[in-house]
Amino acid sequence: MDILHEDYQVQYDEATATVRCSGSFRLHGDEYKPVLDLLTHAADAKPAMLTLDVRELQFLNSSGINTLSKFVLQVRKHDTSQVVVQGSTRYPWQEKSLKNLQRLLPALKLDIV
Amino acid sequence: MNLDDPAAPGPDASRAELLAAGEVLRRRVRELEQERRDLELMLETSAAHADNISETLESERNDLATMLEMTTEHADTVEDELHERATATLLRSAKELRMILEATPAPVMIVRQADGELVYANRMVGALLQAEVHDLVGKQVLDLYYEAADRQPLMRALDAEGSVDHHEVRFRRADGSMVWVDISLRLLEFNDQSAILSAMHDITDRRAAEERLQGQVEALRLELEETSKDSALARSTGTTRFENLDAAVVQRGNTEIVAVHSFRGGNGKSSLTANVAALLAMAGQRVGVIDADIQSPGLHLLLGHAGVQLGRTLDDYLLGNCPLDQLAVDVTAHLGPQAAGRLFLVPASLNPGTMAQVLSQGYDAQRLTNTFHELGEALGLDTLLIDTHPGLNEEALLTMRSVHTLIVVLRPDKQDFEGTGVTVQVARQLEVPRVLLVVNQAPTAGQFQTVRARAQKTFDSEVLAVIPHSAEFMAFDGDVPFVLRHPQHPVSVALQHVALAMKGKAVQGSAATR
Repeated sequence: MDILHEDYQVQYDEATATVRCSGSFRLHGDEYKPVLDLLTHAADAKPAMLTLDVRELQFLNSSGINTLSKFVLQVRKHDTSQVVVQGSTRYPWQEKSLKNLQRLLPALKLDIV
Repeated sequence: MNLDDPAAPGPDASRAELLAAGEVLRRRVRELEQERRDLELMLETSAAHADNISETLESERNDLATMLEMTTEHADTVEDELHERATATLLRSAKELRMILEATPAPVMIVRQADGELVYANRMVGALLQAEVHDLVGKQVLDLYYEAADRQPLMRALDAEGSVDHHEVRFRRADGSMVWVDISLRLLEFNDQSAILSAMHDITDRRAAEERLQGQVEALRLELEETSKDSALARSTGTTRFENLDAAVVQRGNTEIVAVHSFRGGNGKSSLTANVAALLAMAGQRVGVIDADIQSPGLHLLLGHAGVQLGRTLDDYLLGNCPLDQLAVDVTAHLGPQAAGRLFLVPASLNPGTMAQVLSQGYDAQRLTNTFHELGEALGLDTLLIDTHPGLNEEALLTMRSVHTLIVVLRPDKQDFEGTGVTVQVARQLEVPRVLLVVNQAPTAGQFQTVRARAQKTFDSEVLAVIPHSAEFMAFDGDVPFVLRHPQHPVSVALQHVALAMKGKAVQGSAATR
């Protein structure tokens, strides 16, 4: 299920209900489908707490933030999981863009260090 | 009441009929009331459903609007980040370029292509033109040329080829004096504008030396021409006497005579001579080698005569102390039993007294040039290789006058390139039929093609081989020549190219003259 590409990686740890994204997301449109499928799969498992760890995600383009938004909406639809998004101040875009996910899901917890 | 209704009672209907009609009417009213209530219920249900859908759509619309805003904000954030990073990278690159140019130990300047204004010059340009760099920047580059027209050929070449390498052009110093530079040009983007990068090298001293040498060569040519008109005319240049030198010495016989020369010593000239001679002899040729480097002989060491009593030498012959037929030593045995041809060596003396005598008293130039031809005839040689003294001295010039082929050995460094340029120019003036180059001790394999192309273009001469630098070759002290001991070694492969070219030439020469 994991996606291991030369430029980016997405890994889902079912035991801890954690999705880790790393590398640089520079995909376009439908190229994000495998990533969205994996995120949706994690959301559909409806764990009590679901963690999205993007601390090692250096770059995310517009289609990428769109994909993360769809993931948050999927979690909100089920209304069963507490989402925690872990980010890093090393990449300036994370501080600015990740907090916007709370506009879709106010209960989303942001953990940027 | 509808009068057309057949169920409706007429004017003369009985009471019972009227009661029945009344009952029908009541029933109809109840039905209509039920229908009205159903319709009201359906309307309420539809409205509730519509409200529900509307609410969902509103929610989705809000989500999409939020996502659009998020995406836009994210795009702006990333765009700013990338812009800042790109700007920082550009500034860093520009700073690094300036640091590199400032540290470059050669004059480098950048000229804006649109209007020819000098937009950058490093300190070395200031030193070259004896001016302050801040005074130069902002000037029209045309004003820096000695003559404005000097720039035109450069620009034409740049337009045609996209770059220019090693053009020689005159610039004007701040005090108005002339300076010759070797200039190379490249097109580049500087501060978002098309520009020309110029790297230069002061060659004023070399040009002056060339002009002096050209004068000397011309004087020598005149001297040789006059001598050939009257061989009895006695004259001397330096220590070498030309009194008996006549036109006959310039006649070239059946033997392919090849001089191996270099502008500087230590370029591997003697090693190349010995190894190429060995290869030719192994291939079946009758080969002679003459150690004409009287001042610093050493060829015998490479052909199995280290520590061996040399017997008669070239010095003895030049001093008139022995006849020609006693000069050559057959060193074929040194090549081993497989040698199909023969190899003869004419060594130079290692006796300090004899060396001093030749150098102080001089010798008859006729005897030196005679040696080449007479030895070739006497031994029936296919090829005679002459290991000359480095530099452009009288012996070298005389030797050039008498050979079919001149091989100039050079190392790929600036000093040798300049010196070789002078040598090749002199050889052309002396009408040497064939001038070939061998680049020796080339640093790395990756640069061979570049080195070959550069040498070929600079000297407009064929490059026979580019021989890699090899500590193994330089340290070799075997009992047979290196090429025979290590035939697969890259140095040997390159030497085989040289030998092959010589062999082909000798065969052609033989076919044409014999």
